[in-house]
Amino acid sequence: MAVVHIPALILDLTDGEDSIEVEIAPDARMTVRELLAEVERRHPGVESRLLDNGELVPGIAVFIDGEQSRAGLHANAGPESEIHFIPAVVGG
Amino acid sequence: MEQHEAQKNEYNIIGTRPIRHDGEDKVTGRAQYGADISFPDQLYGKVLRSPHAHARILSIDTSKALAMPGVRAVTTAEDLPRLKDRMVAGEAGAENIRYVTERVLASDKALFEGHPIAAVAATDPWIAEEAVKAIEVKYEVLTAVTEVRDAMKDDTPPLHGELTTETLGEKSKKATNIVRHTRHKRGDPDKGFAEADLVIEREFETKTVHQGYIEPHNATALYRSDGQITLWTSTQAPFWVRRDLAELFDIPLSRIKVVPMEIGGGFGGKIAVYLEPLAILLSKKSGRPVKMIMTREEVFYASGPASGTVTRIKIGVKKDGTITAATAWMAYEAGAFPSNWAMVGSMCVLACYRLENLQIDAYDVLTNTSKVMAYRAPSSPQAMFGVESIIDEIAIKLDMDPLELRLKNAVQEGDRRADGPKFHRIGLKETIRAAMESEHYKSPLPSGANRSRGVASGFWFNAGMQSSATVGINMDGTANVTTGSVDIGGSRASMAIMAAEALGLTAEQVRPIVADTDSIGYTDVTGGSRTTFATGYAVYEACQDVIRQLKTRVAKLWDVQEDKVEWGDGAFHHVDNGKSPMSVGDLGPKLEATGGPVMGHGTVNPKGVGAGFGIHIADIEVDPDTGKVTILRYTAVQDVGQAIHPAYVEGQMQGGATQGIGWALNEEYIRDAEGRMLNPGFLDYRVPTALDVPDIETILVEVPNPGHPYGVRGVGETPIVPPMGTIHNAIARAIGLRMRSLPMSPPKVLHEILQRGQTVEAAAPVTS
Repeated sequence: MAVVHIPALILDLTDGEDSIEVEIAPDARMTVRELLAEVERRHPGVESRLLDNGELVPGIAVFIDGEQSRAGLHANAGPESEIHFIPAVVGG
Repeated sequence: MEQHEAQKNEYNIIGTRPIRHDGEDKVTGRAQYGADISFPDQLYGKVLRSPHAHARILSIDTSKALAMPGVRAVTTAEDLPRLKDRMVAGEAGAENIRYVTERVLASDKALFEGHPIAAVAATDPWIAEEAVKAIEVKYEVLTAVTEVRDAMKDDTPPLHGELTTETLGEKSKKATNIVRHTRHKRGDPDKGFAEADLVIEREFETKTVHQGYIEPHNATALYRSDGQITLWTSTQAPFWVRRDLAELFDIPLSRIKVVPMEIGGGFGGKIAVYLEPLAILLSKKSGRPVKMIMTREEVFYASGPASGTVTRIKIGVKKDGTITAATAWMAYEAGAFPSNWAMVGSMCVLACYRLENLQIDAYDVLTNTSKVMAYRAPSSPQAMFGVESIIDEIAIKLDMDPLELRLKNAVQEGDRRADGPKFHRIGLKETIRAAMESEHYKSPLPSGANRSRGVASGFWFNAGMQSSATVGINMDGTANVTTGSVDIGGSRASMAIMAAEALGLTAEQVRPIVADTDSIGYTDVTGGSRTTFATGYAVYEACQDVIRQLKTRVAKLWDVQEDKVEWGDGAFHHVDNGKSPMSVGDLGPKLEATGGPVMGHGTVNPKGVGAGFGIHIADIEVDPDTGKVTILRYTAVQDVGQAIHPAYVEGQMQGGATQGIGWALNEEYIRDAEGRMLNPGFLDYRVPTALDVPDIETILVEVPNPGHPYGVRGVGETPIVPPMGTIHNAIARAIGLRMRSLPMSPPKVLHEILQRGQTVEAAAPVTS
């Protein structure tokens, strides 16, 4: 099961569920966009908070298994993947 | 220097301390900085800046300035393209290009003291200065708000009429100065606090501080008649400058060449564009190169300092020291335009502690101050200051060693960050143990009144991002390494060391070069403690490319199949030992005969970034008559991954600690009621001098980062985080006074002492 973690500010859209499991077959892959679509199917409204004109809300990055993915919504996730939507950080 | 090695790798060059390749140029003054650029026909640009922190611009009359002899061009916001709202990449996430335009040159409103209103180019800088004074601007002065608490009040007029609070994709209906709300939550904080035996909640304040780089901002631009632009500037991010200029002028990237000059300090403050677009506009109008340099005053009030903040931290613990819950409320000064630094702080504030129950709410708040920018581990020092104070208070109340308490609750690999993702291999526990075992921590405090010892921890993510490198093999077997990373902290040397390690050369046989934006592939900022990690990774990849190509040449020379040739121990070997090994040095003279030049390319966008953690220890003495805090001894302990050039790692730790000490003890923007800065100079804005700081001892804890071929993790930013908490805790233990507002400067410490009417009974000093 891939696990999509729901940002705290939109937990009201998932009835307080802070993570949503999505079935991905062994050896299969789903893009983050596809995972998000599945979360949206179950909890309408999530997508519109994370996407702006079909792209990630500016300033928010996709993290897969603790790594920021530059591919964003196009990044592939596997059956054991953890996905977070959190701010992108650079530094000084 | 003590050195702790959690895991040892054997290297030949990595870990040595060769003399830096740019050392002689730097110490003899031959190195070329932005101020050294000069053209025979160049003009000098100066900026007219708003004297008001908040004012409506009613009119700008440049006619008298334009009529002055020697004046060649005047520019205002009217000369910039009027761009529509569009989010573009910025230094802390994304920013609206319309606000970047407004920040560069004000059109309708001046939103902070020093906001550029117009710029002039003249044949000498004094004429330009006089011409600036001849520009007539009529203002309607408005009420300025420079403090976060004031700006957040419901009845404070919003700086921008149209901005509302963004809460992850949703915007509030009412215009406000609170531009963003960020939240992280895990578990049930209320339940966690109910389970605690001790709960402490405190409010903390930090003031606006500046990076304090010695070299002021500068830019020299040439706008050619064919529309091509060349810009010489002091920047941490030449490719970002090019990107920002292309966005501002709405032109292709290929029309702009950015030549990064040597940089006299940046610390995050030399990433955004300030003078660059003005110099280009003036060069376009005049047809001549235009050189601009900020004064120190301009640097203070018109570049991008670090946020002033208010935080409220609450932590609950069991009697045995186990943290049961923590919450943080944080408000960060954004300056006059939206920024994301509270959002970043929210990800740092509780990063050192393993927590099942937490909630963090962070707010970015507009103020009539210059837009804040990155400053070394941006947002983490302000965030962690309060947490580290409360942890120390808890240790005293529970009668625990403060490092033992931290060790008990420290995060390790597999634990979740407060914002969700799990940490990979990190070395916080190793770092705490190294601090506990250090000679400093084990030694008794020097005897004397009002003295004590404090400790605190610090965290920074470190970054990866994109880098490019090329490695060329010379005909004598030496090598040139070219990257797009500006050298701020000795990265030429570290690139050379990594290339030498990979190619079996000495560091002196490798010449490191920093290229302009026309001469190397895209490379992100020198910042985020990413350069040695990511650009070093690109150098490593370029070297592997070289080795692949050379392997073919060796096979040709030996007249064998390539699979009979292998690379190891700095040379090519025949798998059956049928030939004498050949080094890169041996192959240099044979390149022409075996196929021509060899050039390796490396481009990366790497994963595997390793987070950084540090522990600092300070012995201090408080003078109860003056409030002055003297640092008697200071040690910085840090997980540095694999130290490529240990001397520069130590230098980063010492430099970061020194900047943090300045932030802790003296530095702050002091503003009057109208929002004008009263101390825009190094005389009154008090950075630490050599007389203020002892020799900072360093302990390198080497926990190699498995995400990098040489175990690198960023080191430059983490060491600025612990000093505020460290010194604060030492003061508290020395005189029983918890200074919850930075800086802990003599007047403020004395005020607190007098306010309480006594030198309060001190807690037990920390020694093991």
